[in-house]
Amino acid sequence: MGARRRVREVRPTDGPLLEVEDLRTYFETRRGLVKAVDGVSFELIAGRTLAIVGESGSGKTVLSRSVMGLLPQRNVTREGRVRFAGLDLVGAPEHELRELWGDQIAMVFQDPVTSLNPVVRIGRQITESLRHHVGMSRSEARAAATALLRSVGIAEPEQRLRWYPHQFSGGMCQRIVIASAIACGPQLLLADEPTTGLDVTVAAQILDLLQRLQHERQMSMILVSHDLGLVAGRSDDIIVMYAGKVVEKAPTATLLSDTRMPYTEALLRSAPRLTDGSHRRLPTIPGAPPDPSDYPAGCRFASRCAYAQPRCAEEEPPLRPGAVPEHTYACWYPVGTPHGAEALELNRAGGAVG
Amino acid sequence: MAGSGVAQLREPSAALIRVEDLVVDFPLPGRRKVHAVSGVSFDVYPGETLGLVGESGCGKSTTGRAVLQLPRPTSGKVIFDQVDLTKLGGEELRQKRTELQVIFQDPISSLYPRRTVSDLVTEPLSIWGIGTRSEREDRARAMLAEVNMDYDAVGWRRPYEFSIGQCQRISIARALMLNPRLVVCDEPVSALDVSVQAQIINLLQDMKRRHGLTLVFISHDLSVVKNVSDRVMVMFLGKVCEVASADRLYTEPAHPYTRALMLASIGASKALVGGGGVKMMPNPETDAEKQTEMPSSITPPSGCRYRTRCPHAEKICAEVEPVTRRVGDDHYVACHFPIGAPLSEDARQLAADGGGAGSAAGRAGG
Ligand SMILES: Nc1ncnc2c1ncn2[C@@H]1O[C@H](COP(=O)(O)OP(=O)(O)OP(=O)(O)O)[C@@H](O)[C@H]1O
Ligand SMILES: Nc1ncnc2c1ncn2[C@@H]1O[C@H](COP(=O)(O)OP(=O)(O)OP(=O)(O)O)[C@@H](O)[C@H]1O
Ligand code: SF4
Ligand code: SF4
Ligand SMILES: [Mg+2]
Ligand SMILES: [Mg+2]
Repeated sequence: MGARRRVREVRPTDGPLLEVEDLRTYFETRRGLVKAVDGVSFELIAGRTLAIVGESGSGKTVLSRSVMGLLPQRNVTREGRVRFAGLDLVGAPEHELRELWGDQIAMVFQDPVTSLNPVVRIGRQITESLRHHVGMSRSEARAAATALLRSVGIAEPEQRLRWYPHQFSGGMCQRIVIASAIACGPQLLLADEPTTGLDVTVAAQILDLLQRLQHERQMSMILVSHDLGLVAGRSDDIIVMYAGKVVEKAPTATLLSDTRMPYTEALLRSAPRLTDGSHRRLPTIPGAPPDPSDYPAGCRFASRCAYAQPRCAEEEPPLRPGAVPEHTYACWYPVGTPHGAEALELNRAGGAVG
Repeated sequence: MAGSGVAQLREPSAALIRVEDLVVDFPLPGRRKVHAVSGVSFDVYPGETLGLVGESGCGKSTTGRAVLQLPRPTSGKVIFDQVDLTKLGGEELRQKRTELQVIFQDPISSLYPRRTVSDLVTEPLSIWGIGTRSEREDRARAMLAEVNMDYDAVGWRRPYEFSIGQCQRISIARALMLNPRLVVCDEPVSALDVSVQAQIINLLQDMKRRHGLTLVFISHDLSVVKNVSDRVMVMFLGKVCEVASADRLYTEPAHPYTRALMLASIGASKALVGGGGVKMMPNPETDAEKQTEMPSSITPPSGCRYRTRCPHAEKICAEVEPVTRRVGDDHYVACHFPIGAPLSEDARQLAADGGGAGSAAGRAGG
C-alpha cells in the first residue's frame, strides 16, 4: 500500500509485543468506585491473536481502551503497566501516544456509528490518517482508501468516499471503521466486537482480511467479542473475563476442550444453534453479574455458579495453572476435576441446581 | 412499477401489519439514487414474529424504519391495524406511537446521553401521563429486571457509563414499557453475549405469549432468527428473495441466496458445535457463489439482483425480474430456477421457445 514513510519505527524486541501487568481501571461515580478492570495481566506475542471474551459489562471495552490509553478524561484512575514494543504506555505523554495511535496501534471501536464523525465525509476520515502517519499524497491516499473500502466489501467505493456516515447501513459503518483502523498498517490492532452487526458471510470476509494482514505484516491482534463461537476459529489464545477480572486464560483449543472455570462452561452452553428447532427455550446463566462498585467477597461468580460451595463466598480463588502451563484459571472447584464433580453433585443433591 | 411480488401476502383483515410494495429511495447528487428498498411486501399476524435476514446493506433497517415512517417511504402502503400509516399526519402518527415501537440498531445514539436511566426508561409513561411517579418507577424496576439490570444500581447513571450491551438492554426495556402491540427490533441482541441474549429472547417470547406481542425481528444471525421467528423473510439488495415458515426455510431453502446464507452459517458454527445434525451438505459444483464485486444499490443489476453472484444464473435472470410465487406450504420464492421447486412461468416459457434455459433440469435437489 504505497511507500512507507513512517514518522518512527517500532524498535524490534525479543519479548512480547504487548505486556499488560496488573492493569486496573476505576471510575469514580456518585455511588462509589466502579472497578471496571480489576487487575488484569496478559502478554501478546507479535503476529498472534488474543481473544477477550466475557459477558456484557464484564470490562472488555474498558480493558481495551485502557490498554490504548483512550479513556474518558475525568474521574478515571488507571494503574498497572502496559508496555508496547518496550515502550511504557501508562506513563507516556499524550503527544507520544498520538503518534502511536492509528499508526502503530489502532483500535476498532465497538460503537461504529459514534466513532465516525457524522459531519465529515468518510473519504476524508480514512485518508486523514494515511496522509498524517504514512505521508501519502492526496491522490495516493484516495486510491488507498478506495482499495480499503473495496476490501471490506463496499460496492462503488469511489463514489461512496464522498458520503457521510448516516448514509451507510449499520454494518457498513462498522466496515468503514475497520477499513480506517487498518489503513496505516498497524503493528497491533485492538478490535472491539468488529463483526457483531455483520452477517456470517461479510463477517468471515472481514476476519479473513484481518488474518491476511496478520500474515503479511506480522500484525498482532486483540479480538474482543462476546461470542466464544466466533473467536474459537480465529484466535490463538483466549482470555475469559468476568466482573473485571481474568477468570480463565488458555490456548484456544485447550480452553474449548479442557474448560475449567464454570463460567466459561456456561458461556459455551447458552448459544442458540442452527440445528435446534425454532422457539426452543435457551439456557441462560441464572442471576446477574455483580455491581462493579460493590463486588462481593470471595469468587465474583459464586451467586450464579452451579458448583459454588461455602468456601467460594469467603475466599477469592487465585489464578492457578492447569494441565498445560499456558492454561490458568481461577476456581476452587473446577469443571472436569473430581473436586468439581463432587461440588456439583453436592449442589444437585441439595436441590440448588436443576 | 418493478415490484417483487405479493404472493406471500395473506388475508388483509387478519394482519396487524401489512406492507405492500414498499419502496425507499435516497436521492444522490446528479439525479442518481440509492435503491435501498425496492418493492418489498410482507404481513405479520397478531402475535406472530417475522424474522428479517439478509446481508449487511440489503435494506433491513430501512424497511423496519419505513414501517414506522422514519423516514416516510418513497411509495407503497404500510397498513397497521387497517390504517395506512403513510396517509397519516404527524399528530395522528404520534398517537400510534404507543402501539408501535422500535428498538434501533445503534443503542448508544438512540439514548439521550444526558438523561439518567430512570428518566429514559420511565419517559414513555410520563410523556403519556400514565401512572404516578412511583408506579412508573415500579414498572421501570420490573422491566429492567427482565433485561437483567438492577434499577437501584443503574437508575441514576447515564448512558455513557454503560457498556454497549447494557445500553442495548436499556433501550429494549424502554421500548417495552408501554406494552406496545408491534415492536420492530433492529438487531436487538447483536451486542449481547449468549446468556443475556438468551434471556432477552426468552423475554420477548414470554411477552408474545402473555400480551400477544407482534414482532418484526431484524438480525444477521440466522440461528437467533430461527429461534424467535414464526416466519422468515430473506432480503437481497432491497428485494425479497424468499418467505417461509421458520422451520421450512431452514430445512428446504429454495432461493440460491438463502441456501448460500445457510451454508455459510453452518460453516461458521461448525468451529464450535460441530454442526452436527444439519442435513444440508454443500455441493462444490452448484453452491459456489461467483466471486464478483458486490453489486451496488445505486446501479443494481437488471432482472434478478442476485444474478451477478448466483451460481444458477442464466440469461433470463438478467432480463426478467423474478417475482415471488408459492412453491409449497407457506413457502414463497422469487427466483426463476429455485432449488427443489419448479421453474418460474417465465423460465418455462423461454425453455419452451428453445431459449437456452435447458440445463435447468439437473438443478433440483440439494
Ligand atoms: N465512564 C464510565 N463510568 C462509570 N462506569 C463505567 C464507565 N464506562 C464503563 N463503565 C462500567 O464498567 C463496566 C465494564 O464496561 P465495558 O464497557 O468494559 O463492558 P464490556 O465487557 O465491553 O460489555 P459489552 O459486551 O456490553 O460491550 C460496566 O459495568 C460499565 O457500566
Ligand atoms: N440516508 C441515506 N442516504 C443514502 N443512502 C442510505 C441512507 N440510509 C441508508 N442508505 C443505504 O441504503 C442501503 C440499505 O441500508 P440499511 O441500513 O437498510 O441496510 P441493513 O440491511 O440494515 O444493513 P446492516 O445489516 O448493515 O445494518 C445501504 O446501501 C445504505 O447505504
Ligand atoms: S466453583 Fe466457586 S470458585 Fe469456582 S467459579 Fe464457582 S463459585 Fe467461583
Ligand atoms: S432468478 Fe436466476 S439469478 Fe436470481 S436467484 Fe434465481 S437463478 Fe439465481
Ligand atoms: Mg464492550
Ligand atoms: Mg441495519
